[in-house]
Parts: sequence; C-alpha cells; structure tokens
Amino acid sequence: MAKDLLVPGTSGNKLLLDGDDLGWPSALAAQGWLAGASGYALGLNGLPLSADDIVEIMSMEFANPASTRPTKTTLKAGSAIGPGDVLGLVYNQFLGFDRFVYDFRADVRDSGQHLLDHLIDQRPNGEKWRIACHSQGGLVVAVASKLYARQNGDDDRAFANLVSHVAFIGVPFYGTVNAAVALIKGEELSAGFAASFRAISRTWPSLHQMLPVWPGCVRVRLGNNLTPAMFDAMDPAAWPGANIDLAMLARARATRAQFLDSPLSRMNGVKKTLLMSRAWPTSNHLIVANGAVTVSAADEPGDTLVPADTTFGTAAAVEQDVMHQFGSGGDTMKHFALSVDPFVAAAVDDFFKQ
Amino acid sequence: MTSSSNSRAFVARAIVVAALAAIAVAPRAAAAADGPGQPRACKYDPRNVSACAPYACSPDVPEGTPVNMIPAGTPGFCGKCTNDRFCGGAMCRPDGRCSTYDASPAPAPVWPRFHLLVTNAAFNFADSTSAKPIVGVGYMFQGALSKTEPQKFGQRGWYTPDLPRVYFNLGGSVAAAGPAQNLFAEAGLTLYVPSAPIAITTLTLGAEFQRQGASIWKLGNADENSDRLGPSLSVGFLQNVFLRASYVFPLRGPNDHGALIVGVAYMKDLLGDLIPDRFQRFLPEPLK
Repeated sequence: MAKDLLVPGTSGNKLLLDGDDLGWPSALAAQGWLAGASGYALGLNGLPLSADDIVEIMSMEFANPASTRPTKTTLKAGSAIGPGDVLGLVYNQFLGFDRFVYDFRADVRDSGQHLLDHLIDQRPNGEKWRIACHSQGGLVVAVASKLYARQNGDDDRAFANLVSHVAFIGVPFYGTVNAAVALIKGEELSAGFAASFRAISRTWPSLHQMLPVWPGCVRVRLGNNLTPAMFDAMDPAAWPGANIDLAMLARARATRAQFLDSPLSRMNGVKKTLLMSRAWPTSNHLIVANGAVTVSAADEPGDTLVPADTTFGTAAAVEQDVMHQFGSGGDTMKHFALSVDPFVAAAVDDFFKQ
Repeated sequence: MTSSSNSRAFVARAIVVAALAAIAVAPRAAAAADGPGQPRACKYDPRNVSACAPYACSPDVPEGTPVNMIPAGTPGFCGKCTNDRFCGGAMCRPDGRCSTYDASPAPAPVWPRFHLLVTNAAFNFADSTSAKPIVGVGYMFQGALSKTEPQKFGQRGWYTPDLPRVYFNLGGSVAAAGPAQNLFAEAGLTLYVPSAPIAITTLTLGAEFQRQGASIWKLGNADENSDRLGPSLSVGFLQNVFLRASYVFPLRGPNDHGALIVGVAYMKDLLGDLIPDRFQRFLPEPLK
C-alpha cells in the first residue's frame, strides 16, 4: 500500500535542544517578545533568559562554506539542536501521514539528503511514496529528487521509482520576499525581539536559499522611477549597507544552480500538483534606494509569502503545467496555515487518488 | 562587504543591466544568420520549447547570467541544450537533447472538506446543578455545499476561482468518565471566513443535543438519561479551536431544566503543540 508522507515547511516542526522541546515557535516567540520588551524572560529551566541567550541558542554556525553540514547547530556551548514533532496546529489535516521532520534552519541540501535517506530507508514494501509538502518542504523534496537522480546515473525518472505523487503546497520555488524581510527587519516574531531575530536569521542558510530570484525581484530607485535590476536577491549588489553574510549568499546561489533552478526536472514520471493561493496581498520585490534595501508593499495576489502571478510567470513549461492556483479575496488560509484549508486538504486527498 | 564596495558593485551591475537589456530587445545580425551550415536562429522561451525540439533554443547571453533572469524572446540558436530551463524545466540530457516529460493528471473538481479529532471541554451554566467542566473527546466534520471547478489558466496551468464559503457541520463528543456521562452532538451551517479578524476562520449556526445520565448508550432509557436540545453558535479559530455557546431545552428525562452550555473544542494535540513538554505538567489534570 502507498505510504503518505508530510514534509512540513519552515517552523512546521518543533526544535529540540539536547532532546528537550525548545518551545519553538510558540513559547520561544513569547519568551523572545518578553525578553525584547523587558530585557529578560523565563527560560525553560526556570532561570532568567535574555534576548542574547535566545540568540545564542537559536543561531547556527557554518565554519566551512563548502559544506552543507553545520559545524554547530546552536552556539550554546556543549548543546545541540535537532528536529522534533510536526506541529499539528498547521497540519491537522495530515495527522495520519508519516512525517519527515528536519531542522528547517539548515541548508536545504542537507535536509534534502536526510529526506532521501528517509524515503529509501522507510520505503513502503513494493509501493511508492505519496508526498504532501509545504513551503520549504517542497524545496527539500526537489533537492531529494536531484540527489536520487545522481545516485542513479542522472536518470530523470529514477525518483518516480520511489515516489508516485507529490503535492506541493505554497512552495516558493523562485523564492519569497519574506525571507528577505527576516534578514532585513527580523520582525517575524515581534518588534521587541526584531533585532535579535535578525541576528539569528542571518545564521540560517535556508532563509538565504529562499531569497527571491525572479526577474524584477530587486528594483533600483533612480529618481522617481523604480527600475528592475538584472540581478536577483542572492546577489551581493542587492544588499547595500545590510552587512549580509556573503558566504551565505554564495551558498544560496550554489544551491539554486545545483538543485533549485528547474526544480521538477528530475521528477519525470511523478504525478505532481503545485497548489498556490492567490487570495492574499503578497510582496513581490525589494527596493534598493539611497544605499539601503527595503521591501515593497504587498500588492500582488498570493498567499502572503508566495506571489502567485510572479511565481507562475517565472516558472518554465513543466512547472506551469502542474500549477493549480485557487482562491481570491481572502477566501483561503494564509501561507503558514494553508495546509489546514479545507480546499487544500481535499485537493491533496483527491490528487493522491488520481 | 562594506556599503562603498556594494555601491561599486552596483555601478558595475548597472552596466551589465544595460548591456543585457540591449541584448534582450535588439534583433541581432548574428541571430538572423540562418544559412546552410549555420545554427538556426530562434527566440528563447522556457514556456514554449517546441521550436528546436528535441534540442533547445539557447539564448545568446553572457556566460554566468542567472537563467531565471533571461527574458523570454531573447534571441538565440537551436542546438544542444546546456541547461534544464532551456528545455522548459525538463532535464537537459547529456547528449544535448531535452528529455520528454510526462504530463501529470489535470486537477479534478474538488469537494472541500475538513475533519478533526478534538478535545471538547464544556461548562454548564444556569443549570439545575452548579457549573462544572465536562471534558470529552470528539470528532467534527465540515463539508462544502458545492464542488469546485478548475479552469485552464491561460496557455498552461489551472485556476479554481470560486471556493465554497458555506459548509455543513457535524460534530460529536463523549465524556464517559465519572458517574454522569455526557454525549454532545451538533449540526449546523458554517460560513468559512478566513479573512475575518483575530484569526477567526468559521462561524457556525446550528443546534446542539446533549444526553446526560448514567447509561447514555441506552437509547430508550428516559429514567437514567436526560436529553436536551437547543440552538448553538460557534466560532472557529485557525481551524483548530472552536468556541461554542448553546442553550439547551429539556426534551425528556428526569432533568427538566434548561442550561447554557459553553464549550471549547480544540485539536486533540493542540496543547502539546503550544506548550513545551516540560511546562505541560502545570496543566490542569483534566486537560492532560
């Protein structure tokens, strides 16, 4: 019998610090807000926890720019962070699925290798996987497909021997401005914790690997005009004055060239659908002006993270053929909770029967 | 990188921008050359790769140009592919031909539906007895009153514009612990409103039935069980938490008193998601 697998998105599963639930994102976000506002919060051990402590815990280290593996999963001495359970809160329609959990902060190539190991090691007897993946999870699946092709003489149909269906839910195949927002503003959690989260996010490869790469994703203000730049947000020129880690940008460009340009090219023979909401205003470009980078207003249909028209317009033929956009006027869940939307849940369920 | 070096990089990039823009829009003499022995000229388009199939139209751009930034319509030449994107996103094979890519099935009409295992915590007010929590386990189901119809989206892709807003709602829960067992059942119509404020996603108007007694599984037993029924209003948050208020009137049984039932049904493992493991020991015993 086919086996259904859920690959969650960023912050879609818990993180464990030395095997204990770290409380990310709910409790740690609250602690971060309190620490940002008051200077201190109550830590998991009952002791005071400062914003600096949270930065130390949540930051990663990649001493070798060429390696996909982190040298430290946390800067807290003697500790390590790993993935924990999937958050049912945002995946409550897939509770019967097998789950692949990963450190969503890490290099997507490393996560893709872990996923491939899972697909091979836990392969259903004589059957294939059916995968539902959300957000970054879709990029991890794309990486896994290319790694598996490499293992099989670069056979673009090899992955189809392992996987029969993939339902991509709100996957930012060409990136998202929201990743840049985290790197610029760090306001994903709370204003009081923004600066701390910005410091944390700049140590996460995955956020850099999700920077936008579509034409016009960076626009340069010249006088009163905004001119689309011919470089994308993975280019250092997109980050004047932002002190972005150039090694992280280089890592992101290498990842895109190796695995994420033409993300479906090694899924030949796999049945695919790409579900994209167009019900919510979504930002679609960065603005470089006066030696600084800012984010545009959200004015394109999308799911608040993936701009639908831009992503569709950037996609190549085999990607466009399987894109299924839906919704308008706020009639779907937003990106983070798209998987609990009744239409999405039913569409995935029906697609798996095709 | 410092801001000044970023500025220099930007100026250099601007020059490249201008050069690439000229390449993209200006018909080039080389592209027009299409004589015997010459490569066939083409217009690059990753959305339509039929012009050079099974080979590819490779755009004539400087090496190192990010492939996603090359505009459709850029002049190029038919020949061996060098990148998957030049094959429309299919694999560029080692022999320079584009792989033939299998089509996926077209999306079928969808009947949107939602189901959830829940913990149900209810309190009775204005009842014959003092208010006390009734904690049980249950199941809820929402089904749309219509199906969706996917349409073709331009030349490629699909679009489902009209998603159902109105659902029917069925739910039930049982609290079998203790001497007074309770069964709740509810039915109603649900408006799906994910754009509502404060994370509200559903509004449900319906009816709630309560059976309370020592033998709730005995359907005809009116001596040990009391049945009550009345209207209910429910508000759902993020498809995970559902607050419900009902006023139930006595139907039969020893209890001839009405009651206001206020309850919250939430995804079975929600507290495990929201509260770190080591803090869960502070939860009230019934919620554990």
